[in-house]
Amino acid sequence: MKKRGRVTALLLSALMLTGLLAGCGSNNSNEAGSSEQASNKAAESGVSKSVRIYVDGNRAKDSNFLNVVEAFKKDKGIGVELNVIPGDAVEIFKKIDIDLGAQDGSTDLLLLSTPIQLDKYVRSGALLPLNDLIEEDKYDAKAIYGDYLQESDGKIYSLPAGAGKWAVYYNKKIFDDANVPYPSGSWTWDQYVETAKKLTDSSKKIYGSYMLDYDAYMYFTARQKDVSGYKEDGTSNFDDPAFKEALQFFGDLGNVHKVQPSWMEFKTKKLAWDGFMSGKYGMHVIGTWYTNMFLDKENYPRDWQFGITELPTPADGKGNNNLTVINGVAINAYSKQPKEAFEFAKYFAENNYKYTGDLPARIDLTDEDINEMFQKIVDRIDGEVTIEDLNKAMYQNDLGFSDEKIVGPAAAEYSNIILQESELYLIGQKSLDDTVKTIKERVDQAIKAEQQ
Amino acid sequence: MGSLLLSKKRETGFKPSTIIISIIVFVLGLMMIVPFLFMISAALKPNALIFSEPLKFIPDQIYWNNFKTIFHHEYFFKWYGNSIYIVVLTVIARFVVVTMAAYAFARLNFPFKEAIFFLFISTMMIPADTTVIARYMLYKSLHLYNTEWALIIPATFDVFFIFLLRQFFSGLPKEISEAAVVDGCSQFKIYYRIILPLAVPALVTMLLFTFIWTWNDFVNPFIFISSIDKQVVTVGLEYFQQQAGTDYGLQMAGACIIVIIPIILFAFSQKYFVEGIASSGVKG
Amino acid sequence: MMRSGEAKAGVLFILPFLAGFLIFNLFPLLYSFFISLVDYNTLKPSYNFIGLDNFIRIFNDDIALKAYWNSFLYTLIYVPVLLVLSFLLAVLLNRKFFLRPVSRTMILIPYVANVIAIAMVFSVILDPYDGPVNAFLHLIGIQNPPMWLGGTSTALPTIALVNVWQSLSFQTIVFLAALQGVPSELYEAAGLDGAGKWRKTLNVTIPLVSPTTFFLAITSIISSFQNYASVRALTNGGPGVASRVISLNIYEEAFTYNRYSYAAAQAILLFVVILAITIIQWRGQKKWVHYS
Repeated sequence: MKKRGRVTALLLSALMLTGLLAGCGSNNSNEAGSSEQASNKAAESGVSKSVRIYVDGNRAKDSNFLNVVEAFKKDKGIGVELNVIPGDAVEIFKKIDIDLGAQDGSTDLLLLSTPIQLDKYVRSGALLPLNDLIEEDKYDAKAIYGDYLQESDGKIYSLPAGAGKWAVYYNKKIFDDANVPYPSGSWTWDQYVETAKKLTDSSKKIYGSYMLDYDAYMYFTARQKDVSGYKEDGTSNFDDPAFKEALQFFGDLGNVHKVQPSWMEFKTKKLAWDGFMSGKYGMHVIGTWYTNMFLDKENYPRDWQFGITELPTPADGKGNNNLTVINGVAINAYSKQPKEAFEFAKYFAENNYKYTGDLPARIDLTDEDINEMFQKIVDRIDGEVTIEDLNKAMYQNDLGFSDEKIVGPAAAEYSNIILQESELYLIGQKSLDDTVKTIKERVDQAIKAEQQ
Repeated sequence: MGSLLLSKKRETGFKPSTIIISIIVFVLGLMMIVPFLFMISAALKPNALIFSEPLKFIPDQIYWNNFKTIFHHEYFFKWYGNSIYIVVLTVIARFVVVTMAAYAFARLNFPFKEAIFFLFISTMMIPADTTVIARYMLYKSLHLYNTEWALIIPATFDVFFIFLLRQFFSGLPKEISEAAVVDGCSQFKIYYRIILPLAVPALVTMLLFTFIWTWNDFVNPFIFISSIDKQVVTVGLEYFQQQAGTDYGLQMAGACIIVIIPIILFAFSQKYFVEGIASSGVKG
Repeated sequence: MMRSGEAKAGVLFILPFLAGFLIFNLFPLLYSFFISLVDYNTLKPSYNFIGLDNFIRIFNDDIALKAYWNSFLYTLIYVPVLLVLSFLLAVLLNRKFFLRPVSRTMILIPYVANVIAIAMVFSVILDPYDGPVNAFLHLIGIQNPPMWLGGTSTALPTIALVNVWQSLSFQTIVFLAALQGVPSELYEAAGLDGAGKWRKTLNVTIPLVSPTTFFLAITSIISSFQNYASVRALTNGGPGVASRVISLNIYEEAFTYNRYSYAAAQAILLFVVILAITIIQWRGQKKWVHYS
């Protein structure tokens, strides 16, 4: 009885498979036909003005981003379709790379979050040069974006849509408990370390400072002094003493001053990128995008208030820059409707900041514009910080700006090499001099390999 | 539920050593599910608490938002349905194609058998990542790209389980088929009436893991499916990713939702791994 | 006559598979061979023949060479431990005991637990500062307990053992399935001869499941050379490149740097290494694998 049941089941599945294979053949042609039709339709509706843009799942749900899109549709009468790619902001580019590599032009626009990404796509010819469109349109990009506008061999491949900066966020409760006055801006890293020491209380497992494992932390003060990652001859400049000092400074925070988790602690305990929100750290040096974290009280409930102040500067007085990461909007080289795509690029670059909380990459804004922008943030966080706090920390202070990322030949590899090799210094496996030397050697090799 | 207390019916009385082993195995089991408990507990916490108190398995206040966010996504149930549909078709198609080929390799003689088999096995040795671009172009030209068939058809032709089943089929006594041939049975009859029923534990293993691997597959649907409504649940959950970093609470809630079906299958498949099936099969 | 009929049946039985195999398995493999010989090392496809340049480059690439070596060490730890433990576990789970379905299911669960959850749990357990394992080692008087995932020499073995723990289920179930095929008469016969439990296992069970062991040895080696998901979750190849395995390196070459040809060349070299190991095993099977 049982056996017969089993055989029947097997026969049944065999039958289903034959049906399946047969159905599969005919289905296939149907499928192909319908998908062709669909893409034809898309192309047609493209002619009647609709642009397509790659976004990650998070952005596709972000009401601030959707508001920019809606405003664009209304103002310009051009439709916008989102090509939503699953995964985080890094992962989605794996898939985008495959599309772009296959010269697929069905999605017109890309949002690039760092200049390294931009550089990569420019080098591989995946982006449309915008110069002709700018000229045709008589668009005075230079007057709007100033130095934020990035050029590569005289060609413009993207419009800057935001200029992220760095700031220090602090936990007022920890300052109050330790009886330390809040930082008032305009300070040096020495003062930062002193303050962090006063806040650190190992009995309560509280550290005065918190930093993450991004490449930028390894060379922070060097870039504040605007020391370039490349020499004149195109090789790595990592043997410049400024890089060595910068790495040592970062290592000392955890290993010598012990004001923040050491690298070993950070890695083995898998400390989180949003660790500051746990309330166990006095100050956090991080990009200004972090302000959004304090708006999310559901995911990050807290019984303390935060403050924000400007980035400290190197104590030797050789540089007082804030670091900036420019994100931009670019057009697929194989886009079938570059004009409409350019309309979106312009609109997004000019207006993004009004909606999403990204700092604008514009030089033509008035004080009122900027106040208005900060007012929106202050309203959203119920006045935990003031317009003046934000303005002073992020905008109107004495700091200049230099690029956070080291952009040039083999940039992505450069960044990974810095992380891999610095780690060995930070956990005490390699001397500082050897580390810096290896980084230079490996990067030089990578640059050479790329040029071949 | 009766089977929970094992096949005690057959045995008259038990040894004290059975009790000791029962306790040891149960404790071992408890230790093994710690990460699983962690998954559940992290799914029920706001992000801020996942890392600050990782070992507190029962949060002070249960936080349902992670699950709510997932269930409220317009496509969530569609993704889950797509996953089930794709997995079931893959399991069936693979079962038929693979068991037939394995039967031939294990029990029939034909020209170039060893060479063909080794060629099959050798294709397992190239990392799948290296062939992604080739497969992308192939599926596009066959119009499989962005259809469920891009996941089902290639997965049907699985070398791994041919190898597994070949080993099991060739372990069965030769005499059985010889006798059947003398009785005038066709090879197809021997295959499905004699060999398959005798290899049930191996077949269950294949079905179980085909299900789990296809169910958990991320890379293939990520690359070869591009419409949000055609996506499967593992990739679908990635639409919830944060820009700045991972939202661990959401990710763990997603993992809990994904893992339910494989665990149920694990539990149900256990009854096929009971001593003596094969021998009683031979006798019967 | 019967011979040729059998051959015909054999061809018919493998035909459906063979057809799909040529298109979906063999073509991608041949394509990889092809692009390893061209200069497709950017996003944009490029097919200029450059001979063995991509292969020569590997031998000047210290990181890639180190990654091959790491993969080799990883396999050396992972596969033997995995096979021994899964066999013992299968023998244990095959016994009769109370709550068998429940306990068995619990033991098999790590297999389907999320990789990130596992990484997080082990970072708590193996935390060198406040973790329970090192607290215990301190207690029994060990002054400098290992840094586990954080140490340059301990990271790779630790990952291998965590992976054994996680992937044990598959091998255990396959062994369990194989044990079902051991006819109880054989045990009874051995019992009459006065063989003890260990003798029975040694003389009856191990030879009878040897085709399965052979299968698991070959496939575990292949998969251990290809696994990178858990390495990424646990250490991402660190500290430095201490636990960087070749599959992780290939993945990054292809998807981070878009050097498809170079990645393919590394993969082909890996292919050759695994093939050589497999051929050696294949030749050796006559000595210990018993087909009926």
